[in-house]
Amino acid sequence: VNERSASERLHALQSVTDATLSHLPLEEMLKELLDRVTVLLDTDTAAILLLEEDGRNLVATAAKGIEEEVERHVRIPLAAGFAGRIAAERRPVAIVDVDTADIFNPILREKGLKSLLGVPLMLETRVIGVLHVGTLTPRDWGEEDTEVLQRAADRAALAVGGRLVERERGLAEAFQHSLIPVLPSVPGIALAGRYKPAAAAQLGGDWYDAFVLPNGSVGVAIGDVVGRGFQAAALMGQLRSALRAYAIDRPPREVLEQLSALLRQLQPGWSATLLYAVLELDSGNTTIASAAHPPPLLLHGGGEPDYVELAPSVPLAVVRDPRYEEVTLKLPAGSTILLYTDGLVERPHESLDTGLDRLRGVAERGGFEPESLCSGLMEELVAGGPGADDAALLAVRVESLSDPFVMSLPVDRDSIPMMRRVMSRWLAGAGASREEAGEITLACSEACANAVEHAYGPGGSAYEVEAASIAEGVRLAVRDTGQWREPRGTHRGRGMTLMQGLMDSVEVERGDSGTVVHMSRRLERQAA
Amino acid sequence: MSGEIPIVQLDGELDMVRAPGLRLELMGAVDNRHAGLVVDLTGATYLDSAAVNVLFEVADELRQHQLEMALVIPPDSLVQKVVMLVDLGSVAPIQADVEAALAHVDGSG
Repeated sequence: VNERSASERLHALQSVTDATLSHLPLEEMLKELLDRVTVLLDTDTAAILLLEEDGRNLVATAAKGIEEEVERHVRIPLAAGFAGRIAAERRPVAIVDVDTADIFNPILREKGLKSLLGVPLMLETRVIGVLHVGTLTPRDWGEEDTEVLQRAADRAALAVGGRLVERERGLAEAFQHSLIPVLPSVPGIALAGRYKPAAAAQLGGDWYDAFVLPNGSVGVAIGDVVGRGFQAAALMGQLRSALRAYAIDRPPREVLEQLSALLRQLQPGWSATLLYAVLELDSGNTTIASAAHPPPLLLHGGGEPDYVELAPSVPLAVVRDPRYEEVTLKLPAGSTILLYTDGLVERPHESLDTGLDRLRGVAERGGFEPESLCSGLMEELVAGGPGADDAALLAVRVESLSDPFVMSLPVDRDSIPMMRRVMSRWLAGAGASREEAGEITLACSEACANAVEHAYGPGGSAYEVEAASIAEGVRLAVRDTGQWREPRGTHRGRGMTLMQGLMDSVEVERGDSGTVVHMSRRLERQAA
Repeated sequence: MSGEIPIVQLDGELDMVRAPGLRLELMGAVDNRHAGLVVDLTGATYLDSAAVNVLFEVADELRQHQLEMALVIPPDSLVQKVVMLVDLGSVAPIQADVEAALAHVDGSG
């Protein structure tokens, strides 16, 4: 029998959740708490069981004297046996003689426990678990025992609740963060994106994406899954992956139609707005399809920005088999297209037009460089405070190409179609006719293919293409950091044949630090 | 003899990205009922060495089965220039149009 007074014991309990414990991982902290509870109440065992997320089972999380509970991952259905009853009825339960009681967990009997006392772990009005203690000798539990145990349980509940919220929030943030894309590096194009989560660490369904397509064009997308929470964020992740897959061989209109069908199948009742555009790097032609998404803002080299006019459309998955339309516009060098979600323009008690006018005004002052434009917009337009929606934006600027022009490309054959389109644009600027540009681009792509194919083992990094105007035409250099091998087999060497046939001169310079292919070609440059 | 002759139309940019698929498309179009194959490149706008190699390989393979491959190419184009530079005509005769190509393959069988 305990000699310490109730107040002494309660005071001692205070130390159970003091600051020195708060830095411990949850499981260790609970174990430490159980140690102290067994000492204070003079019991042989103590255990904490927490309710699983689905609310149906209690799972042993920490134990003292009956460590097997945790080791065997004991799960007890709500309302079953001793612990289940405590959680279901939300009140203390005292058992003086285990032999005559309804016990679900066999470990309690195996251990030879005679008497048990348990209390619920409450977080506000919610049961989150059970704390119980046991003795190997029969014990008649007093009111004071129950009071001390309930105090310990309350402290444990606070600690568990705090850790749970923290863990959930951490997961939510990590999850959302993992969905923010790494933007591709595209010569002649500047890209910047921003994502601002909703207030109060709620998960949102906004997202953006940008990627290089197999044919060398650039796909950009922005979307908004209607709704909040984990499911909205998870759906957003699924839509993003599916969009990339559909985009490989489908035009924007069809990508949207496929996504609409997919979303209906994945989560009936959910919908999303989405805008997907494909930018051709040679012509600047941009084909846009929208599923009820706010219109992109176009910033020209000068003059007032204006919104792209899109045909009225329905969000994804709202109707069966929707048909979407495409709009094609030309983005000349110096122009920027801005995609955004409604979190950027919508405010409570305000018309959408007011928000759009405000965005136009801020964007006009924000300059054209995507990074600074995005930063300015985030600073001035994105609302904070509770209830604020999440927001995403993506800015794409077509830059003018310098002369000489250098592009650094990853050692990957997938980079070659993109190189071709950028090279075509540069050649047009340098005065090449369409035919000349086609031939020079093909010769260049053969040199690039050699750089990618021969020059590296796995894991090589980058190669470089330089183009410059010279008096009577253009010269190109393709530099890599590897060693060319002589062509092998009957089908080798046709690349070199094409380079030599399409260019006026081709020289391969092999050095210790790599290989450079120099090529030049005269241009007719018909006077305009 | 007058067997059935498949015509495969290859449009757009025939490059290293599409090359593996081209091979499957061409070989999949032919079986031993056929006298040969007509490859219509009229709609092709680009042809690189990877795609050229596929055309050489397919022509070689068909020849081993006594099948002839004939080509139709767009006149005065990048594709024509490439075909001439690598002498693709040495394994796959170049014909003025699809009709002529069919007649050529039919006659060779």
